[in-house]
Amino acid sequence: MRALRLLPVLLLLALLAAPNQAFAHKVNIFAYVDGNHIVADCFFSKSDKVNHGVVNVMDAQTGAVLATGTTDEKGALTIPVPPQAIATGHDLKLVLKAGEGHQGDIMIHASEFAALKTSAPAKAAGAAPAKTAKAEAKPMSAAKGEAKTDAKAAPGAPSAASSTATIDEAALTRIVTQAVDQSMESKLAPVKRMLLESAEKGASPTEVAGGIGYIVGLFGIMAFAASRRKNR
Amino acid sequence: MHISEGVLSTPILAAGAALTAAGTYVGLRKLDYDHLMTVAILSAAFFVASLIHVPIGPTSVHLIFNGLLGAVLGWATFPAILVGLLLQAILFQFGGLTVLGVNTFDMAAPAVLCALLFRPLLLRGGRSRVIGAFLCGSVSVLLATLFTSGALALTDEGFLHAAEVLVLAHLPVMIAEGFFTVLVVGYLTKVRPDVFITTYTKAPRRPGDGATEER
Repeated sequence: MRALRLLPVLLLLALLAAPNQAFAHKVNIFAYVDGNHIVADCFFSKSDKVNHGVVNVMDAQTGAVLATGTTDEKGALTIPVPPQAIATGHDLKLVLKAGEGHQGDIMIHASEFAALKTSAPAKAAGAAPAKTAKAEAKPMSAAKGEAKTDAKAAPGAPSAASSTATIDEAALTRIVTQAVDQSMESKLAPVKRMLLESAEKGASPTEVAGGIGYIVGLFGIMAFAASRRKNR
Repeated sequence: MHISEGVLSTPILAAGAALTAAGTYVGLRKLDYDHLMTVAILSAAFFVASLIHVPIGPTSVHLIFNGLLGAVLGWATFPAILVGLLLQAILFQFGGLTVLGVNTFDMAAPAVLCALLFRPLLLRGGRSRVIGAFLCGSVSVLLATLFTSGALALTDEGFLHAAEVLVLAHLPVMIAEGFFTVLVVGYLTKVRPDVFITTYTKAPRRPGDGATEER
């Protein structure tokens, strides 16, 4: 088939296309829970971020919109985990709308923010019995900054006497959890960044070549079938 | 201009799928054995074209080539674009499987429309052919943006806003594709007039082209 002479032109086009990968047709959202916030990164490609895209945080089960945010110029968005989601323990679905029919979504599993739920009842239980416990019972939002002061206050708590062993145990668990969370966070930061970068991968030349191969194969099969019909 | 999954409502998705199925049926009926390879190659060209980007201001748009496909393939544009978009959806996650029907119709219908509309110009040869080919390339893109806006408008985004954004962003693409279509159509009519399924030349037809007779 002489038309096959066009194939080199195609391959040339494919080569031209391979290095520049700014896709204006696929929009991506990448999100994770950091402390008591959801951190989202929205992008068309590595260099092309979604600025002022609208992100709806939805309950994955009911579909109700729990919170809405807009990305900044760098495609980043930080939004508190909706309290309803913490209470119900449902998974969250983040839907990014970048306009003109571009939409992307990502799931955040309830397990990622389950820790926030356990910390909330602790607040209610701890508030009543002792003063030391009350200081601890601040909402998680302040927790990061408080972690150090809490750690200092804690050793003093038993000497201040009165409070029971069960409260101390609860307080200790919280302190340890916070400390571990903090160190894990700093250690995991590069991993999170790597994940983010790998999520931003565009179409590779392999896939382009594969796609062309599929098309040639598909029409080859059609031609084969047609030729059999013709010969019969 | 691929519409993402989950944007459109179900009736529109269904309507798009039905229209695409009908178009593909007609396309396959009009397609004969001798032109299979032309369809395959242009389908591959369409598949690759969306990776070629024209940077414009803050965004970038990609080439579409639907006008070129229409000019050369006529109704067979439907199966060609369907295959190209299917592979883009599977391999690159552009668009998606549920929106495949709507996306195919938005790209292929304008191409077929232009091919039918500008056929008299293309047939006349000479300068008219150049103009006809240019219009095929550019008007197909224009109509594709309007069809896409229409599909979006039927769900939620306002038609005028979407159309304005899409048409403005695609102005350079329209011009680029107009010229490209002129080049390719001009070249093919001189060198390989028999690749056209929509026959624009008055060259004697080869036996076996019977299926293209009525057009």
